[in-house]
Amino acid sequence: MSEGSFLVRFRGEDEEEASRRVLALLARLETAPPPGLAFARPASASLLVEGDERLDRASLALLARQSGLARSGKARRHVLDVRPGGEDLPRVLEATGLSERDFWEALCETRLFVAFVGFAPGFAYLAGLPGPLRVPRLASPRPRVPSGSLGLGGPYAGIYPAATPGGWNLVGRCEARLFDPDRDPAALLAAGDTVLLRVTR
Amino acid sequence: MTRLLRVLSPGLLTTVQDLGRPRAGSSGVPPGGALDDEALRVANLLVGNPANAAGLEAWFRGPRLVASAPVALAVAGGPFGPSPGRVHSLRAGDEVEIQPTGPAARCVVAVGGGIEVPEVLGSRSTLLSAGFGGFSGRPLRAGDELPLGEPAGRTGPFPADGPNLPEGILGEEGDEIFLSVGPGADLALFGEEARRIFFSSAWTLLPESNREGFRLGGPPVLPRDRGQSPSLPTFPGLVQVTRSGMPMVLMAEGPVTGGYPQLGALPRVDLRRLVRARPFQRIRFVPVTWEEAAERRAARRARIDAWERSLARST
Repeated sequence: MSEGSFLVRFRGEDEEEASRRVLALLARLETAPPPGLAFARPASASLLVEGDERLDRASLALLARQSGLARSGKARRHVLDVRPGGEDLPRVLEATGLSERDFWEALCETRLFVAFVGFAPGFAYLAGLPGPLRVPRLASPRPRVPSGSLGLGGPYAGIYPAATPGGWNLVGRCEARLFDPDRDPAALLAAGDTVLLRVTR
Repeated sequence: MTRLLRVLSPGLLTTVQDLGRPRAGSSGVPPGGALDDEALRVANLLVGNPANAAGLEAWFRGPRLVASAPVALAVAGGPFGPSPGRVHSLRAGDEVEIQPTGPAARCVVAVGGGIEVPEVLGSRSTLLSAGFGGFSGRPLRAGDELPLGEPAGRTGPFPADGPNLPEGILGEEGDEIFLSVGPGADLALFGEEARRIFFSSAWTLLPESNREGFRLGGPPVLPRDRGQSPSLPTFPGLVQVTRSGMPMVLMAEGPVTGGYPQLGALPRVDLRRLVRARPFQRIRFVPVTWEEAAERRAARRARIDAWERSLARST
């Protein structure tokens, strides 16, 4: 797709299924890097792979097909406390047809996983939302959402690490510091990590 | 004695930049750094710095600075004074103003010893969109004091007149510039007519262009299907098309993922030439293959290496 980089795309699949396969390929590349590989990072149903002339497209494609559902040994588990209440919560409850109690119970039971990090420093796209909890993104994004807002957009949930523009449905607030440039690691959540949300009031 | 440069006036948009954070994408952090990495490299080498020492990137109107101690300074990337492309020696107390000598947009300024602000995530570059790195995560203001490192090796006098600079280091001349574009991940979404429009139009840089993206003024380039695209990985040089059909070239601070259709990407040799484009210059795009781009990249690298060797011999 560019100088020294390839894009591996998983087409035509459910985005969540594709995310798992992307993470499996990433895990495979990390444990057994092919010759010439410098770097790989995921996005939605896709993986950017950078390397030198030795990196071979055909062997990448083969690895992509073979990777199955391997898990990265580096994946961490997080439990993040969330305070319910966001500007879009009433509308989301109406759209899902769930009571507030049932909505939060369903969300907190879900084992979310980080499909990829992008859009802004520390912004993790959390996949694994069951169908009944998926709501479409806003028609026009807000120019600024409060830092720490928990949002739902299509197949993903996400927590805004800073007050950036945002097009997702705001349903709660999370106090965890998702990105700190002076911390190691700077981003709290990494691709492959699992996340459970826990309601606090 | 602390060596520093004090900012008397900051210019329009002046930030501390080095060669950025190329491996921070997995954290959602764009690579950042000087948009014209090659110009920073050349300017750094002129003043005896390592290639990735932190310098300044200035837009349109440069800063006015005063030196507290003797320091060497060099400007590249655009026709900005004093003495673009040459080493300028400041004595303690000397003031210097980085200003264009003609129509110009951007330049980089290197100073002997480099600008020694704290490193954040392994780099001294300023990430404006997130407000960290560089000088307190923001553009320079009057009164800011930039600490300088100790110059490695030579402290001067420097040859003011070095070996011939590689072509284009002081900016892109002419009414029109031609830039190559390799095929992008979503090129197939664009029909023949859309591609014809992109490759035959004369584009201009819109005033809203910034370190996140350069926006191109011209006719709309519309993909066949304007539905929602998944978030693909993005990188500097990428040509994306917005919902209204406006092509946008992603720059160093652009987000690392994005859902706009990816029509193509500028190879780095021509991304730098886009950074060197001047106001009102017309920009035209030429399709190339990634193999052709690799050849030009190798040729340019050889040219820069040859220049570095001749510089080392002359000092």
